[in-house]
Amino acid sequence: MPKHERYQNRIELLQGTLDLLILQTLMWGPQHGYGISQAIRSGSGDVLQVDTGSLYPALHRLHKQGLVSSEWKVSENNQRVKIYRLTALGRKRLVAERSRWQQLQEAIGGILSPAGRESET
Amino acid sequence: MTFFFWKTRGQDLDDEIQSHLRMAAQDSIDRGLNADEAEAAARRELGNAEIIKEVTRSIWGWTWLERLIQDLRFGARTLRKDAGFTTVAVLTLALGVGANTAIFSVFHGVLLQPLAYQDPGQLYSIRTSELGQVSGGSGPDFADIHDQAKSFDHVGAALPFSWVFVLRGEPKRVRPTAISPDIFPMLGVRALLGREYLPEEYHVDGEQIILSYDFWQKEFGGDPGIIGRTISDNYSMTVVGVMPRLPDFYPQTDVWAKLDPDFEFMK
Repeated sequence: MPKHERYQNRIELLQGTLDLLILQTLMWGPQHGYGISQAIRSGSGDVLQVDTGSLYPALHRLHKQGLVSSEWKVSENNQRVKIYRLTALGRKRLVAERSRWQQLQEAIGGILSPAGRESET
Repeated sequence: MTFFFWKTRGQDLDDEIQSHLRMAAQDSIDRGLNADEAEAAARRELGNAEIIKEVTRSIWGWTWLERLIQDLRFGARTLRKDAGFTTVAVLTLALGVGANTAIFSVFHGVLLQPLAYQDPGQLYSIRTSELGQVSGGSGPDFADIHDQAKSFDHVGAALPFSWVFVLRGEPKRVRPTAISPDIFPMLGVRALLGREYLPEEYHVDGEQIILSYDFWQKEFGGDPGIIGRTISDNYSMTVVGVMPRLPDFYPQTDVWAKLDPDFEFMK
């Protein structure tokens, strides 16, 4: 039963946030696709589950845009894995996306609790 | 080239999905599932691998093709909506293409296709004109050109006329073309069967005759034993040769007769 509950508690990713999450995850170092999905899952306390069907298209889209680069490597347990790495352009994009997310968060927060925001500041 | 590149990228994506599956399965085993369950779980988690590949692939390519198809569709719709304009445009194109094809066909046949003779670029047709009308030219003119022209290796004359042969008891109109001795060497053609006229034979009226290929086929069924036979009842002429087809050179000719240089017309 706990497994089922966990599944129900999952939140669908907002449109456009997956790119931000991928870029942020790669900020800590190069990763393969599976590693990225695991990092997002555990980083969100199992709340955010990256659908693989969205992950790979997103990775390839970022690659095409030049925000990440990729190369094949052999992992520690001797498997060929494709490693993604943040490019300089990707780093810039991450900064922009983060501030955009910040704005969005504040805007939505302001709408949800206008009084709270005033008392906090 | 693009296709090859595409294949590599497709293979690359396959490998990537496979490695994801293996890692996911390994994780499940570490968590205590047996190998089969782990494999199934990983697969379930991944979802439909083919769909993922399909979607990822679409990130990279074929978008240009899709866009092209969209453009074509849009073009077709626009043309359909404005039938009048379309008709005019299509007719204009059709006329343009047709006219060009026609002109090029003639141009190709007349100017580009070389004559099937030796040194076709060196062959010239000499014509004389009288009071602005093209005329066949006279014998003495020909003799003068033949003897005095320095620019030509050979100068030959050909003169079509008409005969009536009695062939196997039946009168038949034949179309001979009389030729001067220079003609065959000038064109570089040899007899298909038998021989051409000897130089001295040009001074003798009649006696020998050379058949054209078509006449030989039509009247004698291409009989190879035709050489040495007398072919008409009213003229006693022996066939000495059969010429091959001479394209663009008096194609209506039935027999090649001799243009006698001593003939009165030639003086």
